[in-house]
Amino acid sequence: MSAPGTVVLPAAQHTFMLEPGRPVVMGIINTNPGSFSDTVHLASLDAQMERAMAFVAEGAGIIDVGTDSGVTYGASVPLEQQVAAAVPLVEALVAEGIPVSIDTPYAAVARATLAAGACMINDVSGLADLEIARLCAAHDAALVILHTRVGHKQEAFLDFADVVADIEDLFEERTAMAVAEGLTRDRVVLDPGLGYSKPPSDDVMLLRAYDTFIARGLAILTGASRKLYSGVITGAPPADRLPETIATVAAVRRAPGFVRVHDVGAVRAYLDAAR
Amino acid sequence: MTPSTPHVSRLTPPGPTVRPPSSVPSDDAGATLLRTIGDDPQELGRLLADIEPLRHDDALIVTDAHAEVVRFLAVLAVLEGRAPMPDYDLDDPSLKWHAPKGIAAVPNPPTIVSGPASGDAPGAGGAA
Repeated sequence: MSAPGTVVLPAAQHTFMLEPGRPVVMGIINTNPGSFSDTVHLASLDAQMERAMAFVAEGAGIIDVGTDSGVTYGASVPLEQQVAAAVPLVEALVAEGIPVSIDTPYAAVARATLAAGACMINDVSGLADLEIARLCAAHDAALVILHTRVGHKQEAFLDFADVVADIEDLFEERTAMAVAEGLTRDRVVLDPGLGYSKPPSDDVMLLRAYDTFIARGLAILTGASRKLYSGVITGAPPADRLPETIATVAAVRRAPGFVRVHDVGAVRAYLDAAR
Repeated sequence: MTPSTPHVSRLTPPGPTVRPPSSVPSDDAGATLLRTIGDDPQELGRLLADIEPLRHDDALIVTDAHAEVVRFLAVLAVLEGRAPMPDYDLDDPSLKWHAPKGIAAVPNPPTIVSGPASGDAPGAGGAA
C-alpha cells in the first residue's frame, strides 16, 4: 500500500513510486566539460560508467546524462558529438538495469538516446520543440517540463510580476501541448526550473510555493544542486555548496519526485536520516 | 575576472548557536548536539538531518562542520521566511558563474534582461 500523495510515474520500462518525503535521487553525469558546477570531467566512457555506478551504489535511483551544458559561455557541443557520447553510456547503463534520463533540449539527442533505452527526457527548454513530446510518447517515456522563458544557453534574469503564476501557466500550457502530441499526462514531470531565467529572489519565492506545484498531482523534479540563489545567501562558490544543496533538498523533499544533484551520497545520507 | 568587491554573505540565521569545538571549554559544555564529522560528506548529510529539527530552537551545536551547519541553517531560514533574502547585485563578479576546467572563460557577465517577462521576451524559449 502506497503512502498518501504517492505519484506513480511510468517511464518506459520503469515505474517510479514517488512518495512524499522520499524523493528519488538523480545523479548527474555530464559527457561534456561545460557544466559550471561540476567538479569533475569524465572524459571516457569507462570513467562515466564508474562514476555512475558509484552514484547508484550511494543511492541514486536514476542517472541524468547531460550532453550539452546550459551554461552561457562556450558554444554548444555539435549534435553528432552529443549523440556519439551519450548513446554508448545509455546503452551501458541500461544493460545494468539503471534508469536513465537525458538532459537535453534537442530532438536529435532525445531520439537517439530513447532508442538506446533512456526512459526519461529532461527537456531543459520547457518543451520548445514539440518533437520531444512526440518522441517520448512513441517510447512511452517520461518527459520533464522545466520552467524557463529563455532559450537554451541564453542567460537572462527576467522580471516576473508573479513567478509562481508564470510557472503555473507554463506547466498548464506545456502539459496540454505534450498530451496533444500523444503523451499521457501521468508521464509528465514538472520542474519549476531553479535558476532558469529567474533572479535568485524568484528562486526563493518558488521554493516557498512548492505546495502549489505539488497540488498538480504530477511528479516534481527539482534541480537542487549548487544553485546561485543559495550562493547569494551564503557566499559559497558553486562547487562548495553541499550544505546549500541539502538545504534546498530539505525544502522540497515533501514533493513526490526527484532531486537532481551532483553529491549523491551526501544527499542520500541526509534523506535517509531525515525520515 | 577579478572580483572588485567580494560578495559579503550575511550568515545570521535565527535559531541555534553553532560553534567549532575549539571555541568551547570542553566537549560537553552544554551542547545540545556535539558531532565530529571530519571530511566525510555523508556524515555531513546525516548531521544536517539531525540538526534540521533543531532549527527553531535555542540549541547549542558544537561541530567541526560549524561553517557548513551555519550555511545550511541560513538557507533554510530564508526559504522558510524566518530570515529575509539578502540584497544582492547581479553585477557582483563573485556571483557570476565560474568557468570550469577545460573551458576558456568567455565574456561573462551575462546579458541581463530586465523588464516584464513575456513570451516574446528576448530569447524566450516558447514552443512554436
